[in-house]
Amino acid sequence: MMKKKILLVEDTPTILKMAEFRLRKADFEVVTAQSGEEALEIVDKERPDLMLLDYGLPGIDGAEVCRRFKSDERLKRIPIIIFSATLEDLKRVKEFGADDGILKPYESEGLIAKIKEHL
Amino acid sequence: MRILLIEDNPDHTLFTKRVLKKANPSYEVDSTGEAKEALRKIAKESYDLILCDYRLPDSSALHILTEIRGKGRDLPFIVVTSSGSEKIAVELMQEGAYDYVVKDSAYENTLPVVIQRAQDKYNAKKEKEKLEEELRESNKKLQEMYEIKSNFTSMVSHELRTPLTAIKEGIAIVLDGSAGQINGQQKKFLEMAKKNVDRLKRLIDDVLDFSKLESKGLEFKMQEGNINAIINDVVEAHKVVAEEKGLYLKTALEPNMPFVELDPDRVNQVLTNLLSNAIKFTEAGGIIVSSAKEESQNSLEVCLRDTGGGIRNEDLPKLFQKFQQLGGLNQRKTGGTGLGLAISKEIIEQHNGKIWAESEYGKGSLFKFSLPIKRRCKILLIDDDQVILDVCERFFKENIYTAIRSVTGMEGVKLAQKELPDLIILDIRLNDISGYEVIDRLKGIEETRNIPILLMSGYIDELERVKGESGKPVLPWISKPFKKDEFLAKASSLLTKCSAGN
Repeated sequence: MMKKKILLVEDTPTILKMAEFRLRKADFEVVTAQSGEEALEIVDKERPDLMLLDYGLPGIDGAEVCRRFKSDERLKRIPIIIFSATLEDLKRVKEFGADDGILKPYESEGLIAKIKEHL
Repeated sequence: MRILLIEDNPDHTLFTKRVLKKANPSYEVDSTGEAKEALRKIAKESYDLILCDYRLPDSSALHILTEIRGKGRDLPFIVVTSSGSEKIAVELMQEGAYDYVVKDSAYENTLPVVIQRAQDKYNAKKEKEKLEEELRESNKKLQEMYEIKSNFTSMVSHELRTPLTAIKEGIAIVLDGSAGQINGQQKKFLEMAKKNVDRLKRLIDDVLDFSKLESKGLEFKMQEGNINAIINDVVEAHKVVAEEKGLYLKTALEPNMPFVELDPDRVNQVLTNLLSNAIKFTEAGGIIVSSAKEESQNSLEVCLRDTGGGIRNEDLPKLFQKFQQLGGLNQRKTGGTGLGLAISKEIIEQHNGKIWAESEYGKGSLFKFSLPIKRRCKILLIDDDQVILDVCERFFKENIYTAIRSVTGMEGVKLAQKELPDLIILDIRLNDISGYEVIDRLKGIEETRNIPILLMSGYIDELERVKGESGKPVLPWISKPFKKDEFLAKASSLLTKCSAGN
């Protein structure tokens, strides 16, 4: 079976590395981006099965990334999980057009389970 | 004080001027007989009061009043009418005139009184406006401060949680062997680090919650909820921890609990806090969580009974205070900010409930909280006028109160006894017995004695009769015709024990 591909968008390098490590250990293929712009740039080529998206990004923020994904016919089917350290952001995930959210600090089991739920 | 007298009859002008001079020699009176001239004067000069004849050859008092008000000005405006035109005067007052005075034999005596009253009313109005402005200002400042604090809290939350995420995950990756084998000693130290990181995370959550509660920034999403479902969730989530400690964790829930208005997440937080405390402080035995209806208190109660060490009597009052931990050093081992119970108390109080503890030192503790069961308000309308009944009933139905109606006083008393409404709205003029008699009868019956009554009448004089010895009305009243908002505001101010539904 083909590995599922996750697009991980996160601007904090340590969290990016750790989450990437976790996801690979859980047998996902992972591509990363450190900004919303970069994510939009690589998404066509990479064709991920799901995006794990940090909310507080430099440049365009998580809400805007969601909006652009969900208004694009080719991208709107990619599930988006918002990844944020702020509870207030998570309360608004549906408003942004995202499918779910997970709070940082996270438990790796919870993160993996949530991703699988949306694949 | 400068008064503008608008009067076309020269004799009347002269007479009024004389009355005013006599009433107060310092009154400065200017006069005109034409509306156009009057409006020009009002625009140009500053008057403290306008005295205006109702009928003018080229216009009317209503026209002048509308013009003045249209320009956004507020001046004490008194209408002078001939006797028999009081109805017109009352209409003018509805348009914003301050008062009216009838040109009759008592004119000489009433005019100064009416002027004084209009001035007092004007001053009171200005004072009120000033206070309202000040209130608005301070509200605005508070709002700004609240926003700053709220943004700050949110920023701090983010700034603390981001590095914590990296620390927690870094430890977890090494500890669970994902990054390669570690030896026993390495594992032991990492486990210590992990415990402390988890503790730090809880502390941050508590402090942030508390800071939000303090600034009233914690949002409550109230909805109809089932307390038993929340209890089951929380108990389920703690099963493993309790088992690991060898404790039993049971529930004794009353079936058919009424739905109450609550924020499920917040009530879950309170229960989680109480239950994790109970587990933390119990070494043998276990915990029973129960729920019960308290019909007499109109509330439901949740109780957590543990077989832990218990709390000394003198310590009970300190429990729910912030930053309080009992037992000094020994207690420190168990961790916590000392904010958990203070947060729980705030949350329960936001639900208009109560939280308390009972304990027998050495034998265990009992933590209880209650939440009010809200009933839908029931209102009895007594009026012989079907139209008024229809109007009131419609107002109430829009706000989902239950309305019962009666067209006679006798039937009203009977219904009050049978239905025990939360409020009775009572017209004074009824076809059978008077409203006063209805009140007497209601006050004479034990069950209905304390039901609030809102009196209603088209005749202010009649309402005045209900004044007590102090000169203040004994019962709240509203005069007909009334505006919907005014009516609902008055009615709901008397409804404290029930809710308007959803």
